[in-house]
Amino acid sequence: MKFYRRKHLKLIFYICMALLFFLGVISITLGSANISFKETLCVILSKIPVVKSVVPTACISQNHELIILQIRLPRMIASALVGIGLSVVGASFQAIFKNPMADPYVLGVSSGAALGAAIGFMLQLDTLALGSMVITMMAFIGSIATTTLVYNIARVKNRISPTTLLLAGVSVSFLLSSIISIIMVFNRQQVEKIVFWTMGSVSAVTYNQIFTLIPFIFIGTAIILLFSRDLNIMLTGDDTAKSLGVEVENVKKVILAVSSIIVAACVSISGVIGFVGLIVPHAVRMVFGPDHRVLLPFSLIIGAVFMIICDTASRTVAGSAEIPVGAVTALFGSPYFIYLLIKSKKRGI
Amino acid sequence: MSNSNLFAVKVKNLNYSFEKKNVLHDINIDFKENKFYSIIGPNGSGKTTLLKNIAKTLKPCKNTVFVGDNDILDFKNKVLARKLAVVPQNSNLDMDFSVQDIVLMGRAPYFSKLQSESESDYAIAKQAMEVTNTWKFHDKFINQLSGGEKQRVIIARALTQDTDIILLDEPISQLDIHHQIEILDTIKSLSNKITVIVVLHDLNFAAQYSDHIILVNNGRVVVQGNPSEVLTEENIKNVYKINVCMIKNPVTGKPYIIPVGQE
Repeated sequence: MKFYRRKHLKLIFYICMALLFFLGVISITLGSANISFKETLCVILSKIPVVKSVVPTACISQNHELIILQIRLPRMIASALVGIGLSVVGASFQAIFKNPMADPYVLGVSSGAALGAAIGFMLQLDTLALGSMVITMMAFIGSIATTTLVYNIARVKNRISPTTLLLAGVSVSFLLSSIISIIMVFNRQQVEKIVFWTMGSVSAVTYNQIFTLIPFIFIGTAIILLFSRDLNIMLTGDDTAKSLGVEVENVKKVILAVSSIIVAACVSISGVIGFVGLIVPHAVRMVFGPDHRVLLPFSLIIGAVFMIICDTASRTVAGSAEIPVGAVTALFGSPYFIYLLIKSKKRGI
Repeated sequence: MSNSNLFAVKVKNLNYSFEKKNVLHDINIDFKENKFYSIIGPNGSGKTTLLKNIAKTLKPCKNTVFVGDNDILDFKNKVLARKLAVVPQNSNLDMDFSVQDIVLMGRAPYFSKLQSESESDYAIAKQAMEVTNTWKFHDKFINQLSGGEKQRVIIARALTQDTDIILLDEPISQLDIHHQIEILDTIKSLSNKITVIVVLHDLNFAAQYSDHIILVNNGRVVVQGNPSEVLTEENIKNVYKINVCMIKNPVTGKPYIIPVGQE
């Protein structure tokens, strides 16, 4: 007998990447303007430096090109990026808190980021030079403060009770959401703004915002990936992790800080979108197991897929009206959360 | 000339308090290299606390616990994990990791962040699994194993750390007699090359396997020495509040304890 290794993981990963790309293209073809798959593909490929010389441009209508490049493409990219960020953060929260129900939304971290960003917009900090960076920083202050607060409420002498953690998260989240609503009303904002911050949307995303988001998502994810083995070992308990050489407290601090930055970057362009970080890592774990070296890369891809599907649904299923994407993700996520609660109740946790 | 490198671990004037209550008082023990040490004592006597101080799972005071010549507090976790392995009393292993994944975690102290396992790491892990008789289920999930099997997997992981010192906290308390002896024999065979420090409940096993026994009560070392020095009717009566009849084990010649009733 030899050591078995999970086979074909790389191949499956590349297939998932290809699927993600095609899903992205399909998502762009859907909508009130009738655009074909081929045309969409042509428009996208004609913008890629090397490939563009061989792409036929005759079939592209200018109107459609505008819709694709200025409306649907940024929106698709933004939802993919937000999906990546929230899923990776969800997976790492679940490892750090050893709680399968931890997720940036449930723990109130997203609401903290939203409050920070909303205050930033209220003070019109977005009109400054590097405005979107400033908003992200405000969101980061909100998310890291909330993470620290919830963590300390739930902690009893270095132990975190799973139930207390969830209760603390949910109640802090309620508090912060209501503060956001109050701020909005006092600043004579429209109800849409409140809905944006509390239910999430990527409908008005600009390329500028996307370029701000990209480094946070990719550098943050890369840092978390570096800690994959440590996260695996920490699942077996903090004491064991220490005796296996992991600097447990430092790892926790780094992961929580990086996660808070990623959440902040996502929330400041999309508002609060719930349950993505809960549902995606869970689904991936069921198929590929708990090893973070596998779990994190696949969560990232599936997170992007999930968010693209939810956002496409949010702008297409109700005709010309738009459903907040957070409502769509919650439609999938809440029942799943309840299912997990029932399951953990059976196990007597 | 001090010959301090003969000591694998040295505990010097160790006090430990938890929530303003002193749990350990003035503990002094020299653990010599390549011997089998047992720490025995009643429930709540401080055995596990002592072991956790040596493992640095609890933080001892400065200059009280030494590994080799160095204060244990001066080690990074990663460096210490190459010198000293721990088999804890309870491991939370209700998860879908395979047995080999768990055992290979023992190589973690030797990796940098981007490194992955090489053939030699697999070879060390495989050898550890063969020694502990766990290789036959290396591709099973850890949560499918029985308590005794899990315990052996954790010992395999500790061996995979390739350390000179191994600490075990009640490694046999949940096992049947067959597996108890299997594990103690395995550990005993290791003590040719490794310093073994075990917390044990069973006095007869301690007598049979140990080179040196440390009897702890109320956070103090009552007596330490070889089994026949420590395991006397009087010491046991003092610490455990029971009357015993001591005989000589006819096979091993070690002391054998027969409890006859409460004091």
